[in-house]
Amino acid sequence: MSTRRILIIDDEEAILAVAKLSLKMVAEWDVVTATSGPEGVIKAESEQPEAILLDVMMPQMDGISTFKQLQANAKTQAIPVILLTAKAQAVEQLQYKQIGVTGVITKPFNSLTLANEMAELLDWRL
Amino acid sequence: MGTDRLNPDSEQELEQRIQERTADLLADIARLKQDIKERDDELRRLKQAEASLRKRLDRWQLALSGANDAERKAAEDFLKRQNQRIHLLADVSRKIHQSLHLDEILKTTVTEVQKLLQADRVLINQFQLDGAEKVLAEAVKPEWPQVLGQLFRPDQFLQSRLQQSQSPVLSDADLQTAKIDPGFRDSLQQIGVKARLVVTILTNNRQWGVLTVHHCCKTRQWRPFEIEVLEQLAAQIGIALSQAHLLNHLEEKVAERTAELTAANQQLHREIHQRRRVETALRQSERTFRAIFDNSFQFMGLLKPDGLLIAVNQTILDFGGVALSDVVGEPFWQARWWTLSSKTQRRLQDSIDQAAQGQFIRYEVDVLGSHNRIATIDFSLKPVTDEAGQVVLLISEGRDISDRKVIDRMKDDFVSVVSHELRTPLTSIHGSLKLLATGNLGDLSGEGRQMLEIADENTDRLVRLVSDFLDLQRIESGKVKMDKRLCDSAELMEQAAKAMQGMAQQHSVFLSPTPISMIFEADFDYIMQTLTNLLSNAIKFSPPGGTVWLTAELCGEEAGLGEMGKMGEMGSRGDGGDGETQQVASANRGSQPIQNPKSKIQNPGYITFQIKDQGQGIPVDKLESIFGRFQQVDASDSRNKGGTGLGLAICRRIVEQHGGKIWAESKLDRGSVFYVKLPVSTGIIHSGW
Repeated sequence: MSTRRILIIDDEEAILAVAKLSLKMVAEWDVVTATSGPEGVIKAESEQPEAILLDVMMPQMDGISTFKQLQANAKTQAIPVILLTAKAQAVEQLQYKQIGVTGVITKPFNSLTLANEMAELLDWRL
Repeated sequence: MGTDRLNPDSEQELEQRIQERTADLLADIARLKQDIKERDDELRRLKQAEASLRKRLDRWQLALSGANDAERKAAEDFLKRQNQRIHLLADVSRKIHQSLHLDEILKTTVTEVQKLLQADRVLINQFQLDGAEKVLAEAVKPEWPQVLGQLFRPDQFLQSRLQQSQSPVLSDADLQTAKIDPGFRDSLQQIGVKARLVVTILTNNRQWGVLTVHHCCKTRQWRPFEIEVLEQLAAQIGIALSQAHLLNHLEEKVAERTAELTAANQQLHREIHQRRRVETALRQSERTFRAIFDNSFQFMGLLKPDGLLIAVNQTILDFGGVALSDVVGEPFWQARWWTLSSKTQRRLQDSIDQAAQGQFIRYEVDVLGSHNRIATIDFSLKPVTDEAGQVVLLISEGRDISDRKVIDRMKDDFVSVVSHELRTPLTSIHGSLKLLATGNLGDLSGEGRQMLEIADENTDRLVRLVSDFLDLQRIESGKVKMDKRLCDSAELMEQAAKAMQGMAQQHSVFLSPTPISMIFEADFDYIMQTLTNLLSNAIKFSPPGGTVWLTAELCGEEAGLGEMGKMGEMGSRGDGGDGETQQVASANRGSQPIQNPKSKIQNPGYITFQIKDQGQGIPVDKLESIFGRFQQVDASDSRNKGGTGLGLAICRRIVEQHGGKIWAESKLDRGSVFYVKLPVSTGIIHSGW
């Protein structure tokens, strides 16, 4: 099985760095990063990742808008998206799932279990 | 205030008294008029008699015109005297009738009679109770002694002589030979009496006294004419006396009633004065309370129990931009303030119904003001009852808390933003430290690893703190809505126990859940959070080898728990295994027993989860405060036990949002029990787990 490619979209570069290292170290996934929604949409189209980890709270274009753009694009709509959010509300999580996201992981995440949580949501075997 | 008020009964009574007395007076005056009329009639009769006599005299004079001179002269003298006497009699009668005053009548009578009969003394005596005679009036020639005011002993023979003669007159020409009580005779002789003429005076058919004529210088043969005149005068005096009596009586009554009326009038004046004072005080009091009412910062209103407005203060009128006349007498909920939504109006209507039943109502609500301004008010309805406990009035109050709400929202937003902002860097730090701690990024010295562990542990704590803080803030601000769905209590208990199993093992604590199944409405995740939080505390504070029990029981609406009694039983348990069964049995005392935890319970009102430990216990004075923020029993607990000090505060908020109750009971060194009592909505069917 070839190495899985993951796109992480978050405006916080520190988060990007930690998440990237975490996924690479624990699961040996190939991680591509984007620091904004628009950049993420472009990279999703060009890089064709197998999954996207998308931060909800971002300036300019938030995670939900970004997700909607990804869904609107034929080249990216099939890519599973996991939201990364500080809003841990059950109601909010339910709302996110209703719009079609694959799953929600709350901040602060555990860098040692992040890959496992994602794999579980994506139904992947590590 | 009630005692100061003029009694309406006394007013009516007074008026009635005045009316009665006026009627009495009018009756008396009518009688007096009748008497005067009778007296006038009598006078008229006398005048007629006088005219008749004159005619007779004229005829006699005519008849005598043929007689000789000597005879004619004698006859003329006789006629002249007769005429003179008739005149005198008429004069006396007229004078008697001219007065209504008793003293004057008597004085006139004796004076005129003395002149008429050329007597030495004339007396009018009044009979006393013992028959003695008291001299009330006297006309006496100067040479004879005066006896006015004296009292003559009774004449023992008077009555018998009067009866014998069948006449009111006694005529004694010579006192020496007359039949008189000797004692009485002596007393008469002492004042020089030689002859006497006595006539009784009757008033209202009763003997009142006597009119007596004394002749002192010598005996006197009383002529029929004189007797007749005296008799007539006595009759006149009798009438005059009864009239004078009536008048006196009337005057006395008038005086008496005038005094009574004056007293009543004074009393009335006093009462009017007092009433004015009370009214002035009332007006003053009304002004004072009106000023307080109108100038109060609060919105205030008075309602009838059916919700019709009686009054509102100026503050609420100004706020709503409405006139008093627009709202008074109208249902409160139809007034402008409540027209933001029909839901707001319905809620107020329901609240008024409840307040009319005697309940105090208070809630926060948005109301509509002038220029469509919306204000949030702290609204209350307080019932006012009369002495019989009947609700007669509702006091409505509202305090504008819009500013406070804005500040609260700003505070909540601030806390929310800060917490979110903290989470982002924390995520990076936390993640980095975890990755570093794996050693995959290079080796660290022993001290380096120690420092890394400290940083990692404290970052964990900081993460929990921020998460808990954010959770609490969200629940308190109402941003979190409990997503209530049907939950199975057994599933909750099992999952909570499962989630904490790892921690229990880590602390060498035996976790003993006894799930019972009940379907009830709750937010599964939040109740899970509550149970795991309580289990986590119980594990943390249990000694190694101790047991933590998770049980539940169902109870009726009002059933309580015999909590403290159970602490003793808990402490006496020998081992964890038996403890489970005993715990279930004991926890159901006073409620519906659960012999088999899986059996069905009919219509329970509540489900109560219990988390019991064998820890050090909680002092009684801390049992309530531990549910506050950062209120651990020991300040060092948060560091030693890894808690944030917010867990129980969050649990309480969650339980309250479910309409439930959370509390703890404890015995030092024997452990604690935490109770979570949640309502079970009616109509939910048991799953039969």
